[in-house]
Amino acid sequence: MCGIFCFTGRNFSPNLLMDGIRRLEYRGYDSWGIAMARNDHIYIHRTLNRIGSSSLPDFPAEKYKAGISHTRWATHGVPSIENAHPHSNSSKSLAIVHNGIIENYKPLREKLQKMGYMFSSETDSEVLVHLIDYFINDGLELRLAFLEALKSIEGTYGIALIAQDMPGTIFLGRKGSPLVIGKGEGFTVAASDASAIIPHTRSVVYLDDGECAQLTCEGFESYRLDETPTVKEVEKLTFDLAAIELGGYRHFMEKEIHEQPQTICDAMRGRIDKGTGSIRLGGIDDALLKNAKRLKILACGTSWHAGLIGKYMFESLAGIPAEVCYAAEFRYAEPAIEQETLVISISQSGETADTLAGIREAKQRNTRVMGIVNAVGSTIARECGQGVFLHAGPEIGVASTKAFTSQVVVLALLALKASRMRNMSLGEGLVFIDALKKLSEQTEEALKLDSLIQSIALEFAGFNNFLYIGRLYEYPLALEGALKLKEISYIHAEGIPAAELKHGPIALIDKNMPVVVLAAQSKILDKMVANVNEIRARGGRIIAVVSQSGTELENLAEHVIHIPTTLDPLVPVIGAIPLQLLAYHIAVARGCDVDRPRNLAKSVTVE
Amino acid sequence: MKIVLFEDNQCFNLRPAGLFRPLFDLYAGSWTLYKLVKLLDYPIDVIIREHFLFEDQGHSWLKSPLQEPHLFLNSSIEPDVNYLTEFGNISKSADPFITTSGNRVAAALVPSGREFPQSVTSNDIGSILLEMDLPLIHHKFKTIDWPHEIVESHLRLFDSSLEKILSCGNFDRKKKDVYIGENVELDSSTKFDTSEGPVVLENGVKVKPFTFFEGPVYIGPNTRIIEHASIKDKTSIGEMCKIGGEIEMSVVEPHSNKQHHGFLGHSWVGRWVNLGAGTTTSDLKNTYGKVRVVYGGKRVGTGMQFLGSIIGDFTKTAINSSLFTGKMIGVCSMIYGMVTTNVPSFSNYARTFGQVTEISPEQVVTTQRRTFERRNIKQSQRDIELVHRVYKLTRNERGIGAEQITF
Repeated sequence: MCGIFCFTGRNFSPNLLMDGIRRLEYRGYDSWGIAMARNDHIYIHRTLNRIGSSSLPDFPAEKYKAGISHTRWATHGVPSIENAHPHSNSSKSLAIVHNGIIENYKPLREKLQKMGYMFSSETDSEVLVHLIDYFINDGLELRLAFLEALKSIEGTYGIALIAQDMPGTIFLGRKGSPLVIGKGEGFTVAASDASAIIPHTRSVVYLDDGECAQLTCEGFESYRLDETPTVKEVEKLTFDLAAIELGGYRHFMEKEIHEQPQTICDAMRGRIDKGTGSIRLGGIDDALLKNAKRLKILACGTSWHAGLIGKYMFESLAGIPAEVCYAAEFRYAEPAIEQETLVISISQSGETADTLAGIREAKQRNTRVMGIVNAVGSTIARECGQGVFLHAGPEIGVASTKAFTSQVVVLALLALKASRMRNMSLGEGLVFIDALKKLSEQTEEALKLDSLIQSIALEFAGFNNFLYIGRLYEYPLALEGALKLKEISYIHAEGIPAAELKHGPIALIDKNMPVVVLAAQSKILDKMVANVNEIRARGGRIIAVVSQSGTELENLAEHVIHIPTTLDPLVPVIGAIPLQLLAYHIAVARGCDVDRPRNLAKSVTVE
Repeated sequence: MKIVLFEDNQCFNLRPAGLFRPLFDLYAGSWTLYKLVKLLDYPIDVIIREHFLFEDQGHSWLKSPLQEPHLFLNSSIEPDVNYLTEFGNISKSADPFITTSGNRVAAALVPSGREFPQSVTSNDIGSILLEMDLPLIHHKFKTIDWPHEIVESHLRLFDSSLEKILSCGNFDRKKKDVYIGENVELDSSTKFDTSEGPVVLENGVKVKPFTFFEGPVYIGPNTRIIEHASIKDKTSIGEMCKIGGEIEMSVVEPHSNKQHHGFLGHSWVGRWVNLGAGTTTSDLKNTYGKVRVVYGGKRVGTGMQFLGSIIGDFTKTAINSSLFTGKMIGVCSMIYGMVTTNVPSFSNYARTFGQVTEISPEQVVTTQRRTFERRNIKQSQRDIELVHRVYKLTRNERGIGAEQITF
């Protein structure tokens, strides 16, 4: 997720561009840049870190007619000046900014390099500007060259282009990444969302997927990739700036819960290789997974729960013994690490101090390490050297939601790859891939349970204790559901392996103890029915999360939440949604500050 | 509807089988996949490995977008006659699907209108079909993935294969369960035991005196059985072979000779092979344990208690060659004495005398010409070129990274 802002027309100035991306900073903030066109050259300025109160160096800012700007959240290539947008062609006659992921950038980059194009960044985005340059050299005029380039790429994009030859014009293209155009007197403006447009105008149009637009100071025309014009309706913005940043949601946590269909998709974008029934990951050597005889997964908090799901996946699918360690415990426990062990560290921010210390400990013992991290360029990403990024965009809510499901998806990708390198057949690999591909849509489906879960939350918001029970893949999910509730609603909650209930915790159950029963896996449904009967017999109040095909708990539980059916290892991805919603709505009902829960920090950078 | 027999990027795992012929031309259970699919009466095209392609050949027949549905069948699908009905049904319904076997695409029905890349090769056809997102169906057809599976499939398929041959052909029933084609010369001393299955002698078979057949057995057209031969139990002999000595549970492909005494059991013998007098295979370990074979330097369990040798095309064994249990013998090699390891292609293998040396493709071409002439076949330029190509393809079997042969 990055932010794009563009402006063309009267009163254009570089400060307009800076103000624009300042408003989009919540979309990404590791580097930023602007480009402005006039008929003799394009001026580009790029810099690291947050835009905050930064200012531009002194330069004669006259005669520039239009500009584009970008604030970046790194996906391909670490945050650096070279990787910051805008990117330009070698003659500096074109400049682009891009939000999204280009899946086929590697083959395109290789082809262009063979033709003599020089790349100055590690980004996927840079291929776009060289592609446009290539089509112009091939004889196409700018507008057509832009369209041809968009037709050549696979993936998602919100893109803006300026050119020295048409200094007052901005070209836009959208597929998957949002772009909004605003029209005012003598100027036209565009941005990744309306928050940057509101200071200029409240008359906007939203570009649809597959649409392009050509902006000038007089207005804009929109058309499809095949050049057929489209008719856009101008909408009036009525809401305020804060509401736009939250995308209409009340809290960032709620917004991030609802972003999951997209972030789950982004976690696997370009990584599924149906042609081999396996996974392609650019950031790790195949040998790393192939030679691993044992895994140690290091993480803290929610990431640890994702790691525990990963352990079950690696062991049951790939047959690799795996252990999940609390990073801080690992660090000081003088762990025995066998040869051929691979350490997988998981951290959303990539700055978690405990995890980082664990990684350093493992490296000191000559153990190979890899990271699963959301923030590109973070310390853990750099120190691991190899790993997989989540591509979930910035997570602002302190209680992790979208990063958790992306972590589980990435672990599933890794487990699938490791399994296909061992004994999983092509057919089994394809079944798993089909299930992965459905996850995004199924998560969307699960989000429709929002109002049902809200009503359950209102009923249970007054309780001070909760139990969550689950088996196998739903045991870590029980831990995660309980943690979410603890973090934001300050209710005491425990996650327990369902079979352990009778070994002690069942003593806690009475009519004041709500029990969230996770029973969406097909393999252990019978056993869960037995557990539910045990709880029922003791007067516990049962909220059950089951798959759409499971009817066994219908008459046993007080509330039954049906989630879409998937393979057992992937149940936690969809199963997380109702638990996140339940915690969220209970916290809101209790009047808690959801995005800034007491005593907690988003990124725990102390040991 | 068109049927496409395709070779994929895993065909070379079957080495030494399939180096001189596409795998749809490999016999198991007395049928090849090609012969079987031909019974369906649909036009057939093939996608074969690069070393089989000459200037005037290629895969340009694959016109994109497809004008009609195409049923893609992996050429390694075992030639099971029971699959015929299934092939027929799916061809008729033309419902798109894809199905896998182990690590490979076994079959796919691609509907008309689908696009294919400009150039399609055996290396990428599997991936191309997978990326078409056709509905996945489970375990429809089994492929033969490793050499020992040829023998395994052969034994499993043989009874039903023979039934199909009898139902398709025109045979005289000489006595109970002995079926004879035209112009068969059968000495009156020949003894048949058909208590476990029939004996089928195709047109032109000549059986010399004192031969013993224990069914089920299949003898291909114009093959000669030498005096005192004992041919038993699920043995299938191809056309134009010369066969003597004792054979059981084995496949001998066309144009090969095993004229003299010596035992061949649980083995697959390629084409134009000559086994010298006294050549014997072991198919059972002294421990009676499961046979393990060496593939790519790694020992792999076959799960089979009985397994003889897999012998590649154009290989010759000298007198009294002794092949240990479960050995893979490459193509175009010459064997002398004890064979206690796998044998690379294009090798003079005389390990017991301390010598394993390479045979030049020129020498193989010369020997090939002489053997072809004896059967009135003219060696073509393509035959010669193919020898050179296979020589290059199998170079790594003899190179520094190959399985070590110690003395």
